[in-house]
Amino acid sequence: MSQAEIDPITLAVLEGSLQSAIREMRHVLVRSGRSPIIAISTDFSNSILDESGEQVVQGDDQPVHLGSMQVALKQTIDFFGGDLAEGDVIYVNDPTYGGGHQADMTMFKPVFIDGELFAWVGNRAHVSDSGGPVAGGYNPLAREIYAEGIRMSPIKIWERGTMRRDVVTMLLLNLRTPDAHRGDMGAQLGALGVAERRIRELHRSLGAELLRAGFAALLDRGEELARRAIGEIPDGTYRGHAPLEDPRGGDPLDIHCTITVDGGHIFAALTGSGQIDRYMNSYFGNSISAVYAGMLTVFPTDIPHNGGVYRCITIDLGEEGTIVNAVEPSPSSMATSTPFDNIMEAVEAALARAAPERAVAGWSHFCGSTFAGLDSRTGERFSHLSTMSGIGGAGAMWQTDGWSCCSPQCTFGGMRTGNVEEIEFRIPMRINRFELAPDTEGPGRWRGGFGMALEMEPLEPGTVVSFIGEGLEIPPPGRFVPEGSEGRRAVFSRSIRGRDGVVRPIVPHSVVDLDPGAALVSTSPGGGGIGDPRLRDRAAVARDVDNELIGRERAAEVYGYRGGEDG
Amino acid sequence: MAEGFVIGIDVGGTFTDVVGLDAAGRPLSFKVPSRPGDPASAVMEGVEAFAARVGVPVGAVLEDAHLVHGTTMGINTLLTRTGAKTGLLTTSGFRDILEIRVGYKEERYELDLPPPAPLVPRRLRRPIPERLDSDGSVVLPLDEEEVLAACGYLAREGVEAVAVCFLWSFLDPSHEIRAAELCRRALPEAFVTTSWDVLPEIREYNRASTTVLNAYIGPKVVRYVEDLTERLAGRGFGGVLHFLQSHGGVSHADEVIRVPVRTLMSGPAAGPAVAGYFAERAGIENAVCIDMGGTSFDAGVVTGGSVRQSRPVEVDGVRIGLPMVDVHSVGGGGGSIARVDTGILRVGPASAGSVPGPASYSLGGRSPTVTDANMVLGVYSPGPIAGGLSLDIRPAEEVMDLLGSRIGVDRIEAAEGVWRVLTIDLAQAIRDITVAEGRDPRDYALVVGGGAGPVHCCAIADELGIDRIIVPKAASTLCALGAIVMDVVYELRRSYPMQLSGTFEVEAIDEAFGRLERDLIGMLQGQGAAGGAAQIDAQIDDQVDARIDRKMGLRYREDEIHVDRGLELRYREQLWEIMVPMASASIDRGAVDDVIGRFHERHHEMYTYSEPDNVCELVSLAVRAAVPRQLPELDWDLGAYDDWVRLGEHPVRRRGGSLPTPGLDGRRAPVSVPLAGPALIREELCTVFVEPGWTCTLQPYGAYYLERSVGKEAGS
Repeated sequence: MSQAEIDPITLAVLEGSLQSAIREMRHVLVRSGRSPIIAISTDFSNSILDESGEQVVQGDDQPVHLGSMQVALKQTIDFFGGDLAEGDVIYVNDPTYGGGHQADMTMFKPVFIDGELFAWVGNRAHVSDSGGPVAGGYNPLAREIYAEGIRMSPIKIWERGTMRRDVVTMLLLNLRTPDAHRGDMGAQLGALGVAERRIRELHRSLGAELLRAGFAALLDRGEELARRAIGEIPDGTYRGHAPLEDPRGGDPLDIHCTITVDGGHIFAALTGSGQIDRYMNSYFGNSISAVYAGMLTVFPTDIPHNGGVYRCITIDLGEEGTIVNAVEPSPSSMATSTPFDNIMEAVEAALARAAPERAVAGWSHFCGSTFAGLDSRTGERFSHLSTMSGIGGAGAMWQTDGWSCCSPQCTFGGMRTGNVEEIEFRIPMRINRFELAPDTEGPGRWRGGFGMALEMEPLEPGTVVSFIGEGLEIPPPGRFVPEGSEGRRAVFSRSIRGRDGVVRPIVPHSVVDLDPGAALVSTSPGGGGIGDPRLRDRAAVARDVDNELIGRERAAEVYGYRGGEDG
Repeated sequence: MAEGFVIGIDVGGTFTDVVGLDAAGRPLSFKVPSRPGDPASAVMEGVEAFAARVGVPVGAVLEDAHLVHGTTMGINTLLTRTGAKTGLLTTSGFRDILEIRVGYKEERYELDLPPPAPLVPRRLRRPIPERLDSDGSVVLPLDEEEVLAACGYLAREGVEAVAVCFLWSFLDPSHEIRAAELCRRALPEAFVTTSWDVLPEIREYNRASTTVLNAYIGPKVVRYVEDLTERLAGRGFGGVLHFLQSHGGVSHADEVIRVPVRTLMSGPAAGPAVAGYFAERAGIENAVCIDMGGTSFDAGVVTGGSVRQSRPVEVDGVRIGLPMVDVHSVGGGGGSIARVDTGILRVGPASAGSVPGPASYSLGGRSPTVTDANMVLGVYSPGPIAGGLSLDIRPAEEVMDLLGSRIGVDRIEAAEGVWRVLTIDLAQAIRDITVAEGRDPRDYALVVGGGAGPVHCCAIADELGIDRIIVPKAASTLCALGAIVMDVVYELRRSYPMQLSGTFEVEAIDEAFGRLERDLIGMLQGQGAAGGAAQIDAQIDDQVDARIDRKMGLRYREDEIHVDRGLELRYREQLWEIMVPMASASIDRGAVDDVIGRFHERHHEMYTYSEPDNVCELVSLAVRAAVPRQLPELDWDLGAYDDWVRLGEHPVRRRGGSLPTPGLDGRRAPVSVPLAGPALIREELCTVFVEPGWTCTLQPYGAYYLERSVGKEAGS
């Protein structure tokens, strides 16, 4: 495909330089991003794309953003047609233009060299606030996307090297934290500048022709690696399904994935139940990322995340107006975790049939709480989204158990709960228990990770607790676990232990007031297991029993393990 | 301490490096083979070899010697998971802090990475009913019955070490101290340690993990220290034994016995300290120390004369909260293997190691390595090298031919390709530790160590636009040299989390500093953390000779000790803090305000913005007590040569021709006579490659100073 020949040494130099640029972009965002979620949770992604918008490099950053920048850039290029010039910077966040949810802000800059469009640089970052009725963007009460914050189609915030004060002022006017947002924009722009400079340097040292050939070769290489990996999967059609608990109650909604493997190419067709008037609808950019994220399991760990790989995957999201291909006015602020996780699960279910040896069992979904109230120590109001309360176990793979108490699959475990002491210092809550919940694992020859047992108690009267998320009824699925051999499976269980000591379950998606003396008591599910639990290594079962993670009864019933008799 | 011999000994995987000062204060450096199963023997052999070289009986050398030792005992115990069977006493309800790892999986794209096994399995993590609140008040008193029951259980399990870590214990350690006391009684043979002793700071995950690691490696490290002390005593040792610490200073053996985990990065931490030593002599403020041997490339940063520390760090999956010298390590050394990975040439991280080693060792290695590339390019010459090894050209040519055939180029181009790819990777490692902090690598000089570093340094500097390089003559024993020049340093940090807004209690901060300082000075004087400084003060007589003090157990007079204080601050809602040194010794409102002002400045430097209107939080107090090394300027015995002595022509081969390059004798190098590259300077244990465009001058402080020649642009 490439015009000029490029040798493995030059390609190594080029790839090294681009990777180095991506890492430098990352440093800039971590260093100068103002939103804690950018700086601490590194919820962002950086990307270098060729002039057509095909992604040449993406960092090992946020899985939720995998491949979606390429999607959003295509929209942006279509939107502007030829109306692009050196010094333009474009900002976009809307799900109808390839965004995930409005809190994810994507910035693109075309790189012009000698008056010609040569490449694109881009990044996407999750900011603290995106306007709308609820700070932070997750609005469980939203019935339409209009209630989830500001919506931006691709807009030029810089035009021919000059910042558009009118547009930026209007944007900041819509946000609760304009100073922090200005800082985040500066960080994103700074990161783009780093990548742009590197492309110009490479252009100088290699020349336009060789650099173009290098981009093409890196894309071809991604394609070759992906084809080779897909080529190992037998041709055929494989179906997978994942449920999504309906936040309105009633029967679960459905997500189906049909994967057709045909000579090194994958066709993935996604269908879903009709869209709902709650915040769990996924627009196309988010769904495409979820499909890619679900497919990573069939690729080697060091596969580049680039357009060459995506050439081998054709995605069909089915008709419009479903939870996996949402259209206006569906709300979608939860979409980057729910149904992102569920879409991944449907893809993984299909792939488990296609490539059983690479199967991934289900992970616990995200199901968290927010605590808000007045802190009498400082006289100030507080609001705390508790990731600690929302995580459970990861799914097993062949040869490896799942990780216990791991942040959800949409982050590949890359989110932190924070330390107990940090949380108690920051907000007037006392944490009484934060440990593994025994008997919550999904059993298997390799078992899922354990869920969490948590107890939190307010120290201030009238602490408001609200609950978001999913996973209250359906446990994360196991794979290749014989039917009926799982025993009892844990799901998210949340209740309030009142001052009277009586424990009452919490109504899902509700908001409650808590006073000192009462406590939130919760358990999260473990991840799914893989294979027949009766074939599990006896020493491994014995270890879990000795460690008081699996009770003797459960060990006997589910794993067929009886003390040291057959150990 | 100039009275006796000073000997630095740094144990490595293959060699144990020794740098000692002879009777005239001249440094001697050499290597002896390491003994992985018995490192103390290698240390003794190092001492004996030193004695032989200075021509003094071992007993006479040891009688009043100052030994400074970098040990790998701790890190090897961790890496091989051969530590003690360890138990943990934890606050009831928080048994799994270690296993939950704050919910985080670092290598998140490695989907099938198995979950890490904690150093203490769950059944040996025993929950104890007790609880403090976030202000340090007792919510639930310590249940001593339960402690005894837990100790009984651990004793029956045959536990050899116990860590005690309770929530909020850094605000009031009495529960931990009492539990440890009961534990020591119940398990008299066990190594018992508390988080109060190891890391009295907020964040229970860092604290528990570090304390557990301290317990896990403790018994082995302590036995090693005791064994070495005994063997030295057996040879008449009457001097001082110091160990290199992860924080970049040295401290007494008894401090290692108290907190063994502080020696985890014992050797590598010395690199940046040495860099600082040479940079100071070259009049340079900012230096990046690179140490490149057979398998790994370590880089550390010295900015404004101070060595950068970082924390928390993960070592082999174990979280460590103690501040350690920030040494960034990537796979990249002489043994790194080149391969073609679907159209891309890659170098490392896999290494041929020392066995079978590069193909040119002729020990059976058949993979093309960096050393083989250097042979083919003519940077190395065939013949014997350190450790009884020898380099051959034929096998190097064969493997490079093979690599070239896979790329479609000849062996010279293939070898050049290996260089270019390696250079880019190593430059990236340096960018990672400078750019991440908002520093421009061009503002730094390279200080070079390791066997392979002096060959590759010009290429790395060119790639980064760095225009000054310092290559110590003792480059290949850099960390052992560090042992000679590093200060005695004790550090303590304790958390006092509070918001510095409104009427915060400045007296409380002052008092806390006072306590920390007393503990620290007590430790320096050999009285342990709980030592009463007042008692020692009373013993001090102005007339007493410091040497006699040491023999009595009083090591340093207070006026020898330099104390620095600092506050770790952050903005509210931030999750990391910045350490800001205090300018004044007295703690009052003004001093704290001054620190806050400098925090805003530093924050701006590091993160490009500051928030002067935001509330600042105090996280920890830090006190650092140092006894500066009173060394006379080292005499490198450079001789008096008028000009460079040529050893012949060593053409360096390049694509399309070769570069006429003189080989020069490093052992007879003239001081202050500029040498324009290209040139290959042959030192006893390494080769310095002065590339075209660089000028090299040997400096009286025992190092080559390389400068980019005028008129040559960076990166060209």
